[in-house]
Amino acid sequence: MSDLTRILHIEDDRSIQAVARVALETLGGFQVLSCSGGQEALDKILDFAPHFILLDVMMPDMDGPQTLERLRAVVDLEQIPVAFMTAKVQPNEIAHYLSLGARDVIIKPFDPMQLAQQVRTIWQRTQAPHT
Amino acid sequence: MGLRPAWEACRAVADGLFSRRNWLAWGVLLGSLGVVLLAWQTLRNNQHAAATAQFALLADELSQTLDERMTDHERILLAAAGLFDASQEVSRDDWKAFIQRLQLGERYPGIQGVGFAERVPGAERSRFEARVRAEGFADFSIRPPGAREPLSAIVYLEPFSGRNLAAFGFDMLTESTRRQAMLAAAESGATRLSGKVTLVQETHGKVQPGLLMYVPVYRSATPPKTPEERLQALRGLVYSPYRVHDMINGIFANRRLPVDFELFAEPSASAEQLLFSSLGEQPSPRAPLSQRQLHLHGQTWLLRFYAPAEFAASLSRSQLAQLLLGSLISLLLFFLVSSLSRRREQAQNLATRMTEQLRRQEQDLRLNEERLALAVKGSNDGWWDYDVRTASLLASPRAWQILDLPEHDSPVPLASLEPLLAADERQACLAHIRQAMAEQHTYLSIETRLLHRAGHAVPVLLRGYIQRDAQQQPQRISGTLMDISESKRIEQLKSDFVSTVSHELRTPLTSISGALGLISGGALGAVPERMAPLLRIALHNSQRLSLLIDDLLDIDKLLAGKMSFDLQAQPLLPLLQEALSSNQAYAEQYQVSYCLQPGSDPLACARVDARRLQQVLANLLSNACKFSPPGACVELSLERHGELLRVSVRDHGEGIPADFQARIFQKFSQADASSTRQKGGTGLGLAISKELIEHMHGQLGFVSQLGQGACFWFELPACAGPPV
Repeated sequence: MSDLTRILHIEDDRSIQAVARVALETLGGFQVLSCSGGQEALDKILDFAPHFILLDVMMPDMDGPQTLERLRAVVDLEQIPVAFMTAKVQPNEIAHYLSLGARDVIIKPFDPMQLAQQVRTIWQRTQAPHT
Repeated sequence: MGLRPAWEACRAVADGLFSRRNWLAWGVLLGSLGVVLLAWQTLRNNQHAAATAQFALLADELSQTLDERMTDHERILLAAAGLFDASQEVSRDDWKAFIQRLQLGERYPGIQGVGFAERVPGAERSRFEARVRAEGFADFSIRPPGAREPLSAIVYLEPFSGRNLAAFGFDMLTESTRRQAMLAAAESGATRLSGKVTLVQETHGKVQPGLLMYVPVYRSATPPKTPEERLQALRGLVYSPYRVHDMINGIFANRRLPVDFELFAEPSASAEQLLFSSLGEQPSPRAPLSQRQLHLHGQTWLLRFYAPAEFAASLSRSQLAQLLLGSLISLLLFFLVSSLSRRREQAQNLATRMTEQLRRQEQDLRLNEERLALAVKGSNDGWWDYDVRTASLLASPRAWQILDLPEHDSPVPLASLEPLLAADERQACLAHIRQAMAEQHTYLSIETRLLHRAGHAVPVLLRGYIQRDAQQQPQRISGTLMDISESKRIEQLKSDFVSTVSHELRTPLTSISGALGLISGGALGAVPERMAPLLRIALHNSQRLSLLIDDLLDIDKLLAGKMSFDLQAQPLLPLLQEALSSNQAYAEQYQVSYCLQPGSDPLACARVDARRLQQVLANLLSNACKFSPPGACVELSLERHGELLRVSVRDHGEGIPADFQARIFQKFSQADASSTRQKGGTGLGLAISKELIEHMHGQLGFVSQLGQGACFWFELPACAGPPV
């Protein structure tokens, strides 16, 4: 198994991008690539080769679920866990996200002090069956 | 007591009798009284005529009897005159014998006697007196004394005794009434009666009217031809005096007369000439029923007949009785007709009242129909009427118009309408209707979608009243069909707006609170001491704003029915413990502690959405903290109440003011405007909590007394634990 070092963050709002990057880099020591939309992520994912993907749901042009489908065609998502970051967290919505293949949902607004730990926890959970 | 009501009742009856409406009865009364009077009058006339006829007979009989008796008397006198005619000399003894032979006393009662008054020429007076004295009457003289011509004297009078003695020697020519009759008899040669006289025999006792009958006797057996010659040839007059009362009594001695009568010696009825009356001393003032004149020997007598008093009385009594009986029958008729007319009037009044009532009801009905039609028109809803027995439905033109379908004037089978329900809601809608009918509901209210002719679905609200029979079986459902497209569109717009705004707010807020959190969390190095308080303020308020947005979104979803729940059967106690631990930091802010009451059942389970239950508990616990004094304890308890599990959160604050209790669950409500600032919060918490608990099939409420804190509780149906 590989270590968790590179995180791909797909989020259309640049301020949130910035906060998340600081939280993950500073408190988690991760390497973060921030993309402003699904297309940009598709363009860059193979070069970046992330270990984990944080995906916003509501985005212009291509929303979170659509992006997830497109990414699945490019990379093996069994190896790269995806977590949605969203404010839309009704039980049925969460169930929907999980059915699409997401490993978990991080609720917006997130606590930046806890974000890195949340990501690590999800990562560890996904790795556990393989160990 | 009782007089007044009785009087009132009498007055009411009188008013009824004298009212103009009772004219028929009065007409009948007058008519029948008229008939009675007419009949009475006729009867009276008939009776009078019958009585008159009877009296006429009696009067004739009486008159005849009297006439016959006087004729008998005349015969006696004629016989006596014959005695003188037959013999030149009639001695006193001859006379006496003759009269005795007649048996006057027995056969002819009333005749005072039979006498002979001899004509005495003036020159022979002394010789005449001497002759009579020689017969043994020494004191005899012609009375009254004195010389006159002509002169007469009563020489014979049998029976020569008693009253008759007073007449002996009396010259009847000295009295005018007698003289008139005597001369008339002498001149005519026929019998003559005198008028009313008082006999010289009235020497004692009650004086009676008297009468005298004269028959002339001439010197030759054949009377001379002329009155003068007769007067010259007159020898004397045979006569009889009568005391009239005695005579009448004698004639009718053996008979009780059925009539009263008066006898006058003249054709006219004067008191002076009254000879006899069975009624009294004076002529009766009454009009006689009948009268007769008797022509007797130069006199005309008047007989007047009267009905006896008792006969008239009985006659008038019977007439009065007939009159009374007739009047009584008339009165009875009157009351009968009155009563009938009153009945008729009452029936008419009743009919009028009922007609009026019907008319008013009809008018009310029409007005109601109009109102109803206008109300339905004003609402722009359609109406429908479903007959359960025939399973057919009649709908108004507007109802069909909502779906742009052709109108149906008559009921259509419900089955043919089922395809109008949007396919995805069809089964749910039909199930809802069946349930409402089966579960004794009175009202039906369904929001569903119906297919427009163009193919799209029209959201509608179906509301109806379920009419049931005595066995509670639904018979009919009537109600309205409301097109709620517009309100649905507005609702959607509002929801979209809230959602969009919230999202647009939340995105920058996520950055702000995230950035502030990183800085104040020391992720970028130590925060300068003077900056820290302001940074905390910024962080705290960004968190408040975030919570407010969460609440707004929640309430919007709840009210729009868009919030989904993940209900799982699970034990409540661990959820309570989790709530306490995650809200611990909040309690510490207010220097309050949480106490979980001991004895809670760790296995008590309910079907809940764990995250939503945490939301409710967080709200109740934070409220309790906010309103508790520092150092106080907020008590959390879990109890089983039969089939229900009750969770209570009790604080020891000031309690809820009474005026606020009624609106405590309203949105954005707090006890006063300043609370929001002092205590924080949005005023949506309790409204959301109540909705959430109700969505989990529970109830939320509170008890509070001012000054003694408040206890908020919710109850959830208990269930079996989760499958192992």
